[in-house]
Amino acid sequence: MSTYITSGSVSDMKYSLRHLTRYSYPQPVANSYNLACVTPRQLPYQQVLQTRLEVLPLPSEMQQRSDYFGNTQHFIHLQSPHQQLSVTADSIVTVQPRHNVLKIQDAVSLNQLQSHMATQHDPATLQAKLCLHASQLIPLLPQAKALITPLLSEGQNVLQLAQALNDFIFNEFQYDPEFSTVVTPLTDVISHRRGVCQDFAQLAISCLRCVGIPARYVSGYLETRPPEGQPRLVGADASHAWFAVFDPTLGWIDFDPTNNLLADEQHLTVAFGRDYADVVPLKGLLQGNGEHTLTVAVDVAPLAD
Amino acid sequence: MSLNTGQPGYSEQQHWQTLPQWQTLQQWWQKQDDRQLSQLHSELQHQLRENGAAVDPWHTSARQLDLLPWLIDDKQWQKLDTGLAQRHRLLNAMLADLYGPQQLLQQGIVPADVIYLNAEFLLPCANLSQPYPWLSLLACDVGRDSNGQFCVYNDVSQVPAGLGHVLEHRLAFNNTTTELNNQIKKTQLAGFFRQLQQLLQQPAADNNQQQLAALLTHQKRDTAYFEHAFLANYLDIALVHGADLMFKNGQLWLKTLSGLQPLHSVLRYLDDNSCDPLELAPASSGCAGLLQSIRHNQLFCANPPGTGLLESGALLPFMAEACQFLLAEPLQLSTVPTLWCGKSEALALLQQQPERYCLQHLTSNQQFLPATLNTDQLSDLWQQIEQQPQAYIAREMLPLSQLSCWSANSGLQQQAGTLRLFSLQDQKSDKPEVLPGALGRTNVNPLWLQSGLREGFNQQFNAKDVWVLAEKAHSSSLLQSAGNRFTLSRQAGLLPSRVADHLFWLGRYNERLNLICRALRAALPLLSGDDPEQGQHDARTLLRFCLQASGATPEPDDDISLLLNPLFSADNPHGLVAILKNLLFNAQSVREYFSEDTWYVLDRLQSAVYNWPAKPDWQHPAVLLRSMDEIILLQTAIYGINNETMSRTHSLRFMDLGQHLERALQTSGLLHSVFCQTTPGASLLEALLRMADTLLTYRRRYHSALHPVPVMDLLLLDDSTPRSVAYQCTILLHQVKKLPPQQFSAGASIQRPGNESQLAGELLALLQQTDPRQLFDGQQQAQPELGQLLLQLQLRLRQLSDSITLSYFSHVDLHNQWQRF
Repeated sequence: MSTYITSGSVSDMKYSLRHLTRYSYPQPVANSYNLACVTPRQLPYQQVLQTRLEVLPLPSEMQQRSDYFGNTQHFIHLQSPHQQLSVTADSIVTVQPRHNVLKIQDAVSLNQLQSHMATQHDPATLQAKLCLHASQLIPLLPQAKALITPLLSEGQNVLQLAQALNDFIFNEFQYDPEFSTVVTPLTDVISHRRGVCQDFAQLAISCLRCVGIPARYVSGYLETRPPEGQPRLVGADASHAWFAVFDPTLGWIDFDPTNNLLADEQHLTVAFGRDYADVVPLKGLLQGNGEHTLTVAVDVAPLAD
Repeated sequence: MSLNTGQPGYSEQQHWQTLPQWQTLQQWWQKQDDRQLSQLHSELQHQLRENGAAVDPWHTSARQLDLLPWLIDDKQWQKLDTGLAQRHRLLNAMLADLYGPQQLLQQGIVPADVIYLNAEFLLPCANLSQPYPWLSLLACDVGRDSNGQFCVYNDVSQVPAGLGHVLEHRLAFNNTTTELNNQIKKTQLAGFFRQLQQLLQQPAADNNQQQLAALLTHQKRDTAYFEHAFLANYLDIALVHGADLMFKNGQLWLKTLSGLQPLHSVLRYLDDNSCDPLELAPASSGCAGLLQSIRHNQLFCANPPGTGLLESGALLPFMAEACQFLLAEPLQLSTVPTLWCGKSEALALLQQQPERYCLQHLTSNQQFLPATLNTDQLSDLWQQIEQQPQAYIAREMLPLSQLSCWSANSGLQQQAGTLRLFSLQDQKSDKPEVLPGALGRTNVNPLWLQSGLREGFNQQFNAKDVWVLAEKAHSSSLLQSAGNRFTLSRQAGLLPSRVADHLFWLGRYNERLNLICRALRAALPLLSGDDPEQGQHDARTLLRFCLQASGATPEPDDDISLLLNPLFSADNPHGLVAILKNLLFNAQSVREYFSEDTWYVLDRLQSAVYNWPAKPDWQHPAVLLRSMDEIILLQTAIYGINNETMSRTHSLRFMDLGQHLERALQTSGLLHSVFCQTTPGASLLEALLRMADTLLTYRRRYHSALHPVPVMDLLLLDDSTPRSVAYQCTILLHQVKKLPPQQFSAGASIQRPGNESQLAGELLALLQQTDPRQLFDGQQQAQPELGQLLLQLQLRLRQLSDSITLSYFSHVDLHNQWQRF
């Protein structure tokens, strides 16, 4: 088994992150309860050095907890009449390279994975089993199965399959921010062959779960500024999403189908879950007529040490 | 459909042969002839509360309480008691584990799929119930298997339905079959309910003050709601809806007349998913923040959301192993044989004899009864199962017990029967307490009692009171049991705002109905008087008032039928039926505040109105007049009974305010119709006085013919006439002065309107400043000032009504609904 350098490397990257979510209401809102999932989580390859959540107007109360997946969730109650709500998460994180490209060859085969899932009950495998079935936003569609079936091949391991799928989605699907909303069903994404990062991640997850591979949804950000001579990546300046695949020995390996990449130190993780519904950045209930406009701004800036 | 489990059920009566109590019961039974049995039977049904006041005229009773009780001897009961107590501990431990460390999954005792594929496994509920046990209350359905042994086939953990019925059944028997009760000693139920009460009404740790407890229910007025109201009343805790609650500063509060009151514990009678629209299902009737307050140990919730996992049946196949693992004990009370289809051997077993099972799909909660399916449907089902066998649970159907049940039509008949047992665990003791009684349910079809479990059982069923036979019966009365620990009843300030709102409008609608009926009763005889033309003219004036009072705008020259028909039409939103419906809706919404007698009268009132002709025959008014008499009498009875039976607290005050405000408002309107829109002759003036029950007073005072000025004085300004506007305003002032002070917290966006006492005082001053002689000219014609005064009074009365609404019924902005984004 190979060993990988995961921390303390000279290639550590340090970022300053800002994620602003702003709701504006034409009519004053008297009372609102919110759940926010915008604070980056601690991971073996990601350390959150500082983090702060600012809510305006000042909430009457705010409480923080870890959800089922260990993501940071804030409960926010606003009680004074307001026409605008802004939630800003400011964080400083360091990220280490994950060397996922090197790991791919070490993954298990589909058969090995399936027999592992059927026989093992350790906590890591249990968490993977939670990501093996249809979930609220990700049905297991025959159309999705039809997409992944031609990609299966003899002698291929699970991560090679995931990479082939990543490649397929990147090449066959059109990135189109005009096309979809957070509620566009997967069937539309498949039939129109277009969508945004969230759709591509959920599509990949549906395909993988159809063949019995545990796959989860990851929300986060991409580094904004491209290295010299390279194009800007799609999905910067906004929240980003991708998917991860479970391997019994390697753990979860992240793939970004929007950019045909393995997620690495340019990918900053906020939260993960079964699908988007588990990690919605800001959701809740308000007392008012429900009309609103939403503004989201994300800034990711590398910091010099 | 014809169904059976293929085996005859276990005969309970066979088992009772050796019991002396059964001999006693049989001897008693033989002494009764059919007529007596029939009488006792209908007396029992009458005792069931929901039969006392029907929700609507087409409502039929959901339950029949059987005249023959179900006997359980001491030895048999000991088995059930210890078995259920153990199961309660086990299920507690299982929930704590599955929503916590998941050792059961890691050890492979429970397959992860039955949890992760389960629609009832709610991630936001993980680690929710600390430091309390997950299950404070548990109900279990037990039935006899083919060996005659009791086994559990259903765990009820979200809404322990039937607990109130058990109590109700026992009280009904106590009131009906006195002779029999004295002969057969049975264990009493009081202790269990006392413990439940203590569990909910924990005194505060710091000052030992009683804290607020509530039963959280839904807003539908169905039979389940009646059970909730009954139980809340019995336990002396508030009956609340999600809309009565709000989350603030880390805890839940009850919106009451005197502001927000902290809520300490909740007896939850809502489904898991309906409890918290923020974290669980969006369109739910609970309260945002409920989970958060449980999480922060600010609310004791019996039971917390998440416990529905047990009701899915997913854990039934693994109980025995889980018991060994978690409690290191063998399972005492067995569980119905259940297959998890994720195992191929289990699937094969199911395919051999599918008709013996009831299938549950864990992801959709759908249920399938293969015995009722044809070949095509069955092969569809197999295909469906093959796609994801691990999402299906197959529960074997039990033969159950056979018992005799009595009905007036068919006499004694054998039916299949099952028991619903209840148990309770508080924080202190290790051993759950089992209710020494049960809800017995019978049906001709044993499968019927074992299917559709997820929908609850608020359908038609036959119930049996279950008598646990004990050597020594406890003698404490149910009501005495409350003792002096529970002195905090509904204190003035604890009246929920919603309840006050319903009571206020109940008062208003009752009075509106009353005044319209009085006007009709005065108008109809005018039509058959000596002078038909004058009579019709006068009657039209009164009928126009009726329509105005009901909220319609009548045309000036409509003929009698055109004025009368809309009042009687059931579809008219302003008709009398509509007013009655509003009246009953408000009464139903606060049913726990009324006595049995009030319900009896409301029920009579309802049938009186529903029996009205849709097209009244005004040329033969005798029938109509008789019904008016009856309605007015019944309404008077409602006020009388409530004055006698409702405690002198704010609840009665709000009804009173509604009544007097409505009477002042409508009487001003009536006087305007009579004096400002026409010039009344003697016959109309007489009808007016008759309507207000003041004809005798007038004759005593004036010994003269009828003149407008003294009539106006009597009905408008004289504050000693119980139907005058001035009298109503005096009472309004008196009552609003006693309203609780407002304690609004900062931050709540309330526009504090004009003071109610000030508004009522101004109304009274307006009347006191008026000289009746100046309201009419020399020809006894109304001056414009009269019209202005009457309109002014109506305007200010409406302001007073709005002011009360704003101050007491709307703590937060009720006009804006909650929206999810």
